[in-house]
Amino acid sequence: MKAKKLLFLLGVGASLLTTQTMADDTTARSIMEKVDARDEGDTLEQDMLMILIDKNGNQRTRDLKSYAKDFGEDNHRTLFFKSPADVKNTAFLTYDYDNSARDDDQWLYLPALKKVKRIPSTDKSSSFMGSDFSYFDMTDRDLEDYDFKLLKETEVRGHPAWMIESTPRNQAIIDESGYEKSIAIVRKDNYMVVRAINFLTNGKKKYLDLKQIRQENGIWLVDEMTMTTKKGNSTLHKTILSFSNVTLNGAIEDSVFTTRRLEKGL
Amino acid sequence: MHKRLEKLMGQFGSFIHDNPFKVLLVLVVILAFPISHVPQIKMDTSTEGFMHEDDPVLITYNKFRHQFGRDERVLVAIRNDNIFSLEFLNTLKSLHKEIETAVPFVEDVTSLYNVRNTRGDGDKLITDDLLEPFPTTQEEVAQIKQRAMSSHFYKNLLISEDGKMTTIIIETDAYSHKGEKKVSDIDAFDNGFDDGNTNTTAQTDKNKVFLTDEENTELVSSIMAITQKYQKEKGLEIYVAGSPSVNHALKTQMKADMQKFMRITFLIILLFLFIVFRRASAVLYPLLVILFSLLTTVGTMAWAGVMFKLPTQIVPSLLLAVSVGATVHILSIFFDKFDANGDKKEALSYTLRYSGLAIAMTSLTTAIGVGSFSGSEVAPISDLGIFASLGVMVSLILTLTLLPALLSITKLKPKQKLTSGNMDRVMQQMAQIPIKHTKAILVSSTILVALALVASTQVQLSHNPLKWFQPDSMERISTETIDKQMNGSVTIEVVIDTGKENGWVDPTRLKALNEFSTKLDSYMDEYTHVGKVISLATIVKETNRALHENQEGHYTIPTDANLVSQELLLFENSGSDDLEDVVDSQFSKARVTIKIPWTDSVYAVGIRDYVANQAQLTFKEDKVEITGMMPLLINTFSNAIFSSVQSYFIAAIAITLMMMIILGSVRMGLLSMIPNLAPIILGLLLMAVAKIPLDLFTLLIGSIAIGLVVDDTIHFMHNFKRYYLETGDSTHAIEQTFATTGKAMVITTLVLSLGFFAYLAANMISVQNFGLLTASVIIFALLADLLLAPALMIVAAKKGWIK
Repeated sequence: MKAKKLLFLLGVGASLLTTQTMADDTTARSIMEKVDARDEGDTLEQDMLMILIDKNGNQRTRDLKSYAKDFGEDNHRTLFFKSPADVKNTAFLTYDYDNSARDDDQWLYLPALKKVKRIPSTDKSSSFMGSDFSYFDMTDRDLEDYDFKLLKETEVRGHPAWMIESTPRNQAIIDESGYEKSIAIVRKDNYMVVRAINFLTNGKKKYLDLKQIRQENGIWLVDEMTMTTKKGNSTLHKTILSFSNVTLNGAIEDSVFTTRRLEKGL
Repeated sequence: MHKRLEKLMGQFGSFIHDNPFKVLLVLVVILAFPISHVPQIKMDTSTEGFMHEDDPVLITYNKFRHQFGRDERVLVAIRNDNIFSLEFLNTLKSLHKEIETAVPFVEDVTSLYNVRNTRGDGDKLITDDLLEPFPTTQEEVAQIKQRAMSSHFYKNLLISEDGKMTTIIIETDAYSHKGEKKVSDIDAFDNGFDDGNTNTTAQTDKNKVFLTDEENTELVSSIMAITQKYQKEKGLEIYVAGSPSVNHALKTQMKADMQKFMRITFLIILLFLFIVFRRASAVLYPLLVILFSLLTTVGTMAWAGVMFKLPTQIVPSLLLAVSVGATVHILSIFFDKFDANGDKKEALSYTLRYSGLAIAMTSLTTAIGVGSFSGSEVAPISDLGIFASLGVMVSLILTLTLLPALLSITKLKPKQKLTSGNMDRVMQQMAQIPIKHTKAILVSSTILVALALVASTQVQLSHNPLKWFQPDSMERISTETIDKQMNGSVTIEVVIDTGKENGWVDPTRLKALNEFSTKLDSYMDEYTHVGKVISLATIVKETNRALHENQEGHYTIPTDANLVSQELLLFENSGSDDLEDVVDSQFSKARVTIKIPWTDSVYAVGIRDYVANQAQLTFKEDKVEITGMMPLLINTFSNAIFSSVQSYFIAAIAITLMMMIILGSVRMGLLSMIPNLAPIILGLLLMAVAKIPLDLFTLLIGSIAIGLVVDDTIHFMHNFKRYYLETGDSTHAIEQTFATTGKAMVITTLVLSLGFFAYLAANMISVQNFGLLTASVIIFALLADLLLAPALMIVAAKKGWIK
């Protein structure tokens, strides 16, 4: 089960996971259980290139270094900015708790201020590092709160797939994620959520697309994914995340996930 | 020349009598084309509609809306003595959520419920919304109150200084949703993922339409329905303001009033025509002439792709006035002759010979007069010039063809003189006044006009549609209350473009921005003041203070450029999307929003210029643009007002030249301008006395005045001259003119002034003023031409000027 605690690879797929059955589509649920059971490693170290594209097509680029590790049921991760230069070494540390009643802990280090600040957060729908991805998109949930429905069988980029809709079972889940519902495309061969539309409560839609994925030692990894925020037919903003120098299941010291480490910088 | 033309007109009358169906057929063929386009006419009552598409002011505004969204916001303000109580906050929450989910075309809703509250608390940095987590005890509410009341950002934006009024700010979509199809979720998959690059979206945006008037109406109506429900069910004291709601109310109420009274006026006119002529034909045929002129004009507009806009709303009233005048002249003279000799052909030929030319000249002069508006730089005023003058010409053609043709095919019986007999006696008596009191009339007219000229300088140039609502109307009260308590309800927007990426991640520039904002904050002039300034500086100062344990001394712009970048990154990460409201994603363009109370467009020029000058002075290296709906209104209406004033001068010159040609003498042409201008000057006197400002709407009434005044003067002068040249006796000429044309003038005046006085019962003050002024000028015109013009002619005849 710890395998599911892996960030970044999951994207919205994670939000669709559930651990208990309720009155919904059993076929859809069994598919999502397989998505959930996929092995995704225990640690992950990678470089992250974030390209932010605004509605006028202007681009901004951010380079980050990311470490993530499972600690029992919980997941810790550290992020360092490498560029642009004026935010270099700005760092974030996040403890994502399996217990959904407990809010995540987050710390921030601003090198210009030379201070670590704790950021208590109750809101998961906020933007992840100014991108179209939200913290909700990037982390796991305890996901007993969804109903699933198999909409149809389809194809994506030539691969047979299922289209599955997930609906939150209560308002609290909607409030936390900002999503009224999601529709995901799950590839039949590897049980990955390769595309999804998230319906925001404000009428906007966020389109997740895993553009490049590959298999390494039997584990599927994402090389590039995009999240596009749209209102109606027009694109408001788009984020491309691409990953490189990926080390899966390598050894990462626990000390990487401390505020002291944030202060040291890369 | 004159004689030949008159003879031709007479022959034309006989021709129509002998070939009425041919004439009708030709008319059907000609009119069918434009009238068939009537259904395609489109309405555009937007402010942007006042500008040409390539107007740089509009281009700047559109660029702004594309980048930052629509600047016009709807403000829902709630007054309550216990804003910080669990009960009220719960009500606010549910109202907020209902607006967010139920109102169409909403982009963003901000209130105390969800406003950002970035603050420091020991080593903690809190970036939650103000009411997150939602309070459950009165102690928590007390803490929230303390936070809210100490916020610089909320003050005068979301909460009044006395803490007794709070607002919900509704930002709407910039672009229209028209033509968007509702796609099923499954289909959304196939369309939603574009594998190409996103750069193409920038191009497709160019063809996008901004939120339309109908969509705005839908939006405002939906908000009003919700607020009324809360008013009723929860007893909340709610006010709704902001330019979308004011303009919506303005347009719908003006339109409703104008349409309602246009119909009432129509009925009054038809009824009166029946009383005067006692014939169905005299009621039905003018109606047809008016209707067909109007339809042809509107159809031609539709065919030319010109939309019906606020200034062109005046066209139906103008055509009504002109058509009634022309048809009454024909009918009056025709029935007099016909009743006398019973020969229809002879009567028609006589009528056209006698007054056809005069009618043609009046219409031509009116058309040229209003046509002088077509040179206006303001698009819809130019449209008004073109189509009003076209309409007048169509009305002329129909009066001279359709009306006689219809009379030819109608079975008519000569009648014994009844009312008209009385009227003839009245006319005879009236003719004696200028003959017997020539001097008194000239002297008193001179004094009156001189007085009026002095008084007219007291008429205020203004454009403030809020004052068009009754003082006790909810629209006016709402805006006035919110303006008073929240320091404003509309905005001026400034965009400062550094031209380079991260131009705004610069402490020096941010400091300048901060000083600029502080300076603007204290601006005040005779007419308005700045209520609130919002910019990127606010966010940076707030974040900086929060990172320094919320110490007020750190509510400043940091000096370290890297710290600014890192604070902005932190803010981006905090979950607030407020950054995109104040700066573009490249940090090259910053937006400064300046909230001001609703202000007369003419008097808001001062504040706009101050903002523009200060911005240019502060940011010398950057490109500064002043935009937003308020500056657009200022620009549009001051342009429109000055442009129409200019047009009136051109019209006056054009009409003078026409009068010279018609009367065949420079001296007589100039002389005729006295009775032409006097009624308009008296109209200004009335405005000064009644304290009616000279705004765009009252200015346009002048175009109708031109039509009526010119009509009366030409009819009188033309006929007087003819009778005078026949006999050389000015007294006889005046009596003759009064008995024939004069009678038609009196009927026309009574009919029209009665019709327009009906507007006094309207709801909107502007529409009441419209009725009062139009009807008064019609009466002034008659007085000028039945008293002043004859007196002047007696003098002119004595001097031997009439040849």
